[in-house]
Amino acid sequence: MIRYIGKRLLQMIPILLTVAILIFTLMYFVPGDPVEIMLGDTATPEQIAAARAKFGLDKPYLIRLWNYLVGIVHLDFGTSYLQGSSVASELFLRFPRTLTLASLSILFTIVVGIPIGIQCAIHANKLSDKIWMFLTMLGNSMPGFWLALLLVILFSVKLGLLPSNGTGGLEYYILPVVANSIGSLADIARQTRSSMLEVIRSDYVVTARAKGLPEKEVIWKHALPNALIPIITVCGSRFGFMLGGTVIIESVFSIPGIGMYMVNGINSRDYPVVQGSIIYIAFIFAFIMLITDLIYAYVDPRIKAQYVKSVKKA
Amino acid sequence: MEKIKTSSAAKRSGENDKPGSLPYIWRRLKKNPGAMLGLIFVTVLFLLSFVSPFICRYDYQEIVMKSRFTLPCMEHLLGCDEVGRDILSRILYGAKYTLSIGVLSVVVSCILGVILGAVAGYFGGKIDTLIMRFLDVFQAFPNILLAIAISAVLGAGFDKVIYAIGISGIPGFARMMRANILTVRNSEFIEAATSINCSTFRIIVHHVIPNAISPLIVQVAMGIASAALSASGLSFLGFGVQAPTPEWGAMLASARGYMRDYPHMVIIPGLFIMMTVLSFNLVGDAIRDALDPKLRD
Repeated sequence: MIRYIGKRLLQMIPILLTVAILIFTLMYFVPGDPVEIMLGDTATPEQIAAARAKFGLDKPYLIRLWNYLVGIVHLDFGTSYLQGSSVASELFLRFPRTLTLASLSILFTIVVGIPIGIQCAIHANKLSDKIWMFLTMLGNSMPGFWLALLLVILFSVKLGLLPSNGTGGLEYYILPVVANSIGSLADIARQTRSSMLEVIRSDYVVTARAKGLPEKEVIWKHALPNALIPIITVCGSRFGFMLGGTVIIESVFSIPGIGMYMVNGINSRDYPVVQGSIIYIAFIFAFIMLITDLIYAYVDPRIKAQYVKSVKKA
Repeated sequence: MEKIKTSSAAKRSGENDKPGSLPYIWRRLKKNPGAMLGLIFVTVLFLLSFVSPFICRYDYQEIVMKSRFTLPCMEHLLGCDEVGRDILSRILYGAKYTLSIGVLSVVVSCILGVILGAVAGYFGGKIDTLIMRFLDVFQAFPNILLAIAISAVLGAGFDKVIYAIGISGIPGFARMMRANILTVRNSEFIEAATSINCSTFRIIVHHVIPNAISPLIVQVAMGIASAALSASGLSFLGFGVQAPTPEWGAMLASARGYMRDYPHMVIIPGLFIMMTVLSFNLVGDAIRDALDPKLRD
C-alpha cells in the first residue's frame, strides 16, 4: 500500500511540473506590461527599468521560468506586484477558508445527496422518484451563484436570519455551502440512484433478502458498499470542482479565500497572484484525486487485492 | 454512401431502425415529453432572440430614466433595470449570446477533442501516451478554473469566452472519443477496411467515427448545458461578455448591487439561464436513455 502511494506521488511530479510550466507560460504571454500598469502613466523609463529589474522581469523567459520553478519547490510563489507581499504567505493564510467552504460543501453534498439517491433507487419509477429526479436536474441546471443571490435575498434581506457576507462562525458558511453544493448534490444523487439500481437487482441482494434480513440492513450493509465506487469517483472530482467553484461563491459572499484573491489578481493584472493561486489549487486538486484513489482501495477489497499482488510480484 | 443508403432504408421500414442510429434516437426522443419541451424552449428562444428587435415594444438598449426599477407589470412584463431598460427585450436579445456561447464552445471542444481522442485511440503507442499525458495536465485543474485562467490571459469578450470554455472542455471529449475508438478499433469491419487498402484517414473518418458517434451526441448536449453555465459564471465575474451587452450572466452581475430592493432584476436572468441549461440537460438525458440498451422499448 505504501509502495503504491509512493508510486502515485512520483507519478504526480511530472504532471504538477507541466501544470506550473503551462500556467507560467500562459501568464508570460498576457498582453500588457504589468510594471507600466503598476507604476501608472507618470513613471519615467528609468523607474520602469528599475522596477522590472526588481521583479526580475528583465530576464529572458527561460531564466524566469527556472527561477519560478525553483521558487515553487521552496514554497515561494513570487511577490505580488501590487501589495509587494509574498504570494505564498497570502495563499497559506487564505487557504483554510477556501478549504473549509469546500469541505463543508462536500460533506453537505454527501450527507444529503446519497440518501436522496438511495430513496430514489428504492422507489424507482414511482412518483416520488420522478419528482426527485426532476428536482435534481433542476439543481444541476442552476447557476450556483444565482442560487447564492436568491438565498441572500430570502434569508438575509427578507428574513434577516443569516449573514450575507464575510467570515466568522458557522452561520457565515451556511448560505455559501448550500449555494456551492447544489450542482454537486444533484449530481451525486443521480449517480447514487443509478449505481444503486444496478446493484439492487444482483444475486447477493436477493440472497440477503431471502435470508430474512431487514430491508434497512440489506440496503445499507449489502447494496450500498457495492454501489459506492462510482459514487466516490464523482465525490472526488466534485470536491476538486468545488475548490474551483468557490471562486465565484467566494466573490458573492465576500469570503477572503483563494478564489477571491485570484479574481482580484486578475482584475488588477497582478499576475504572480493569479499564477500562484491557480497552481496552488491545481496541486491541491491533484492530492484530492490521489486520496480518492486511496479511498477506492479501502472500500473495494478487489482493488486492494491488486496492490497486494503487485507488491508480492515486485 | 453505403451508410446513408442503409439508414434511409431503415427509415422506410420505420420502427426497425438500428438501435443507436440517428433516426432511432429521434424516434425515442419524440416519446420523451421533457426532451421535447426542452427542444421547443431552446428553439423558440433562439428564434425570438433574432426577431426580438422587430417585435418588442422597447429597444433593448433604450435608457428611460423615469421607468428605472419598474417592477414587472403590464407595460413592462419583466420590469425594468437600473437605467430603465426593458428587461424582457434585453433577455430575448441576450438569448443569442448564451445559446451561441454554449453551442460554439462545444463545437471548439468537440472538434479538437474528437481529433485528439481519435488519433490517440487509433494509433495507440507513443502518440497515445503523449496526447493522454498532455490531457492529464489539462485535467489537473477544475474545469471552471482553467476557463478563468484562459480568459485571464485572453481578456474579456464574446469570442474569448468561447475559446476559454471550449479549450477547457477538450479533455472530456478526447477521453470519451478515445475510449470509443478503442472498442471499435479491433472490430472486424475495421479489419475488412484495412484489407481493402483504405487509408488511415478514411478508416478513421468513414468507419471509426460514425460508429463511435452516439455517445458523442450525449456529450454534446450535456456539454452545451455546462458551457452555458460556465459562461454565465465567467460573465458574472466580469471575465466574459461584459455589460452593457445583455448577456444574462452580465445582467446578473450588474443587477447584484440592487438586489436588496429590486430582487426581480436578479431573479429573472437567472431563471432564464436555468431554463436554458435545463433544456439541454433534458435533451441530453433523453438521448442517453435512448442509447441505453437496458431501457430499450
